[in-house]
Amino acid sequence: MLVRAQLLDEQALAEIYDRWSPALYRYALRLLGAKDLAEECVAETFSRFLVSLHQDRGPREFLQAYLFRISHNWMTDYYRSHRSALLPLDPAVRAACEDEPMQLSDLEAERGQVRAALSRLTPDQRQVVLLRFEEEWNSEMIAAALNKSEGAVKALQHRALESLRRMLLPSGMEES
Amino acid sequence: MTRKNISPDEKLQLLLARFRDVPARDPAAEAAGRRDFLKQAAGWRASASRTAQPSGAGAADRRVSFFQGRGFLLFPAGLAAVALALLMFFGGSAVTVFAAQNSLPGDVLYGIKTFSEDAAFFLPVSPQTKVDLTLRFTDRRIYEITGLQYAGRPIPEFAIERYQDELDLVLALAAGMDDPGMAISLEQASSHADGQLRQIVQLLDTGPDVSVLVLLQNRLREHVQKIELGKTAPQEFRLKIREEQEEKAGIDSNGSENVSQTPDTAPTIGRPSKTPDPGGDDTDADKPTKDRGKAAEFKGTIAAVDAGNLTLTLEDGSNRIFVLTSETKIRIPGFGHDATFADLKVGDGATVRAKKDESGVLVAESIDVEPVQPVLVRYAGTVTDYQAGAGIAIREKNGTLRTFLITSDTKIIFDPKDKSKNLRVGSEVTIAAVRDASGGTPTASEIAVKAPKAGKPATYKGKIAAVDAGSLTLALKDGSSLAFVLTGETKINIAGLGRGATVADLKAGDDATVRATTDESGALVADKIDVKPVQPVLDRYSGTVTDYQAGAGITIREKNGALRTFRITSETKITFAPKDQEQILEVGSEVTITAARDASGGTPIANEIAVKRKKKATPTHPEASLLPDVQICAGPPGWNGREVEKISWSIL
Repeated sequence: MLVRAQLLDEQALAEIYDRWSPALYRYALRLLGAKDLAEECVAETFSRFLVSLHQDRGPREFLQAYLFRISHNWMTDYYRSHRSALLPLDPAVRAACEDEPMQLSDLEAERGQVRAALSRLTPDQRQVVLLRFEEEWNSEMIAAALNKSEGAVKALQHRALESLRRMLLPSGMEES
Repeated sequence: MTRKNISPDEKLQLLLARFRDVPARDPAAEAAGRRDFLKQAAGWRASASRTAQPSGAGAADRRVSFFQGRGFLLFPAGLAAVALALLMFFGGSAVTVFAAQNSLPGDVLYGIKTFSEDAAFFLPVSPQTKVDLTLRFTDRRIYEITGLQYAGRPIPEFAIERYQDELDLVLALAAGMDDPGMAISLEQASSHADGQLRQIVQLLDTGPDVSVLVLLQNRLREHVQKIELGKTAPQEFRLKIREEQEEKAGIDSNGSENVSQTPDTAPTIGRPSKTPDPGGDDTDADKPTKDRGKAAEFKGTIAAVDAGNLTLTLEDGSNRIFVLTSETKIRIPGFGHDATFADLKVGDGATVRAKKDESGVLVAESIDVEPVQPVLVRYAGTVTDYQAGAGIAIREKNGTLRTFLITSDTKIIFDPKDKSKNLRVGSEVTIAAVRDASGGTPTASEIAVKAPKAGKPATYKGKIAAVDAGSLTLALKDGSSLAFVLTGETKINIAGLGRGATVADLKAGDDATVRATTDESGALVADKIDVKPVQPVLDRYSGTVTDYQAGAGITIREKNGALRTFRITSETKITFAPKDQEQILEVGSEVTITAARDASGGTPIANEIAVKRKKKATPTHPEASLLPDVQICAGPPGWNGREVEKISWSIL
């Protein structure tokens, strides 16, 4: 598929988009919190992917990791240029939740806590946590996506979970 | 959710799981994103097919399709700011300038728009920037003309003349540059002209009166011809542009029609009135009047050739065009005296002896060719992807992945011992390719396929993409896939099932490691398959059933009030407590549901619904302890024995 993509074969590119854009969108939406920003991130990711193909700098393997790396870089840049980049949850995101109103408020509160805690991690830690626990990637894939060694990824995950434990599980709760 | 004795890590994961649910993506936005992506790819595919395009990001930017700049954006922000400052100095307002950018010829604000464009020439910018800017303005003119045409409004003459002025200005600026600069500018001009020509051709279908458009089309074609002249014969081009400018200046000084002096066009502030002579490129052969009839030799590389002309790129980078006649002698080593123009190849070195005829055209008397041996490089490795007639990727022993294009000229050679003659993923090959100096994907000139070595097992890791009784397809990490033959000898080991597993236990999606041997036919025969089933992460939820649709779905309310809905499939197991004689699942039942975590955020499927035994209400009759121990042995269908207590009470 990658060979055909390097030749800018329409069918191969369409397959790639259909296969990976949903996961990229979910990933971006969790991190950015706004649908239109997530769409922008996906669009920019695929646009940069095309540029790299055109310049023959495209991925030779691990296409999925490659796409997430582009997305990662885009979001890192975004965080740098927008200090308070972790936006409150888009109203449309809330409206789409299927839970009952009472339930919704609890869930929202919990999600808000998690989001706030994630926002206090470093960009790398945040992305490791999301890829590991939300996308259920293994360390090897995350390492490829973030262009880091597996050891570095494990260290990032360890530190991220430590921080999240401190923020989300006060000492009393940990014992329960 | 009720969970007993969960660890902090589990609790943290549960909290993170709260974050997992994301709303479905807007299908319209997704479709639009997909469309834009494929459109962008199509544009690049088209540009890639054009020849003589410089590579790199800058070139890519220049290749953006016509009108991609969308009107106002065609005006660079920095220059807009300068124009804005100038105009405000003369009494305009910021809003007026920006509002004017989308106006059309004949609109009230159009004069402001053209003024702001001309004001940009006050800037001390390089000729290259001015070329870039002017080309954007030519795009604007076509954009305006398109707007007028679609609005059914006439296209004023001054709009056409302004467009013509801008086309001329681009060529004049280019002619004033040195050869490399001129080449870049003309390449840009060519790209813009192509887009504009395409747009005019489309407009020809939009209305009955297209005479103005035909005029524009003709002018653009002349413009393109001049560009081509500039590309192939820079000095000739400079002379021509200089002559045109002098002619135009003569007309202007006589006070006759100066088409640029229209009420809507400002004087060409800062625009060059005369093409500077870059010098340094004159050769004797370029002076037709002086040395006509005297033969000269030109050494260089063949840049283009057809039955009538040959273009030679000289060592200084300039191009010369030579006319080929039946008298032209062509000598190519190895061809003897039989060589013809058809044997001349772009890229070959050549020495052309030519002299100018009376019209100043260089006529080739002889051509001596030194064929350039292409630098062939060989790469050996294992095929990881192969698309017949399109491309091939191999992994070298050191792990490097290399991709090559395959054309109709690519030779595929099989080892005589290879009876299968099958080039496929997994084949060992040696690829000969011409080194591509531009850094692009090289084209394979020869692919030598080695005979498969039988008896050497290799291990492959990936996900099972498909499996049936006789074959298994593994999706590898690099996106390629490999097919394996399964035999009665293939050992299958699945974690949890042990070595007794069979082909039927293999499932698509599971991670697998296949050890396989290539047989004499080249097929990969699986010796052993080790499978790690993708273990779904199971969550348990306990609560009271609030809704239950057998075979479809179930909703429970957890103790903390949370409502959870699960899908029920034919795979869902419903179990009852061992002592539960009623064995009823209904609204009100207490259940524990085990469900696989759904990464997509959809409604999870219940793997198992464990129904707890219903607590019997404590009898309140004072003689309750005296009730006979009634045992229900049988009853009508649907009868659950609940009435027995009532019967007992009534007996008492």
